[in-house]
Amino acid sequence: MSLALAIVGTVFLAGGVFFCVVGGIGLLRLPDFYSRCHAAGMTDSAGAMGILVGLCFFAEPLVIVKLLTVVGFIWLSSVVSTHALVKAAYARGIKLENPRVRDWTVRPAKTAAAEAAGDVPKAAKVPSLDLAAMADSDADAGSTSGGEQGLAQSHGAESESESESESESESESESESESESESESESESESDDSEESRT
Amino acid sequence: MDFPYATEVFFSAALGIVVTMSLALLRSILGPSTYDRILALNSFGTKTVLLIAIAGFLDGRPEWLDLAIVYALINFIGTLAVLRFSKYGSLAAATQPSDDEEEVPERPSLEQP
Repeated sequence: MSLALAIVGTVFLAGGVFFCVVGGIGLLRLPDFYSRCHAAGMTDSAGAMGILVGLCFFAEPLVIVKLLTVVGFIWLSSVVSTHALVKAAYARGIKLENPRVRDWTVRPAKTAAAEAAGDVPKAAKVPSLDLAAMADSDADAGSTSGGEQGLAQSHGAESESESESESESESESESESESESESESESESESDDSEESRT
Repeated sequence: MDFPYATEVFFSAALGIVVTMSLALLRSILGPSTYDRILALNSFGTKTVLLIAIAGFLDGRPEWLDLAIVYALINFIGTLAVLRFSKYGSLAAATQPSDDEEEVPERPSLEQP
């Protein structure tokens, strides 16, 4: 009986150590602050739970209570501190690195200019998260590059990593969006106009 | 303990956690922004809790778990304190930053260029 418990505990420990090491590699390798937050939060919840619950199978009852206290506290505090960290970083303006992901709280520069001119009422400042529009922009490569432009313009910087775009099979639209993002630094308004006419 | 390989199991688990801690420390050294460093240090602290727990079992003294509990508490408070410091520039600054922005002191530039 004790041997069976120890084997189950060993399995839990191995799973926890696996999650910890994978989370550490993700913390080192992922390209973006927010994806690194994902790796660290994953490690904190799954890895810590696996290791501490695995230790429970080797322990006495009072020690089990202590271990479960640590598990519960880590579950609460890790989530709270990760949330506070991401919110502080987002308020500070840490940017997303993936050019195919659109930040939905950042407006494209053209709409912001139109709003500054007084065409659009101020009430529509932050757009609500429209799932149908998101699905459309996923399906359509043109509008995806539009979101890329809006993101890149609003942050004033261009991400160099085009590896994900190159790995896609749809080569024509991908090369189009690549050339667009290359020529964007020279003529921002021009590519914006062509983007507008295409959509 | 009837299980004959308990020491080996605990030792290999502690080794994996030490590897993860070194990866997190590398991120905290490399990290381009301050938030990367805070995140890596938070992860490092959580791994320290796990390492203390496993070291207690490895040494046959699970009472070290009390230290692990205290370390988890300090880690959480420390992360929030560092975040608050990096947001307000002081641990005793005003709490509400959004409504009256004149009251909040200017934040020092903590990010690396």
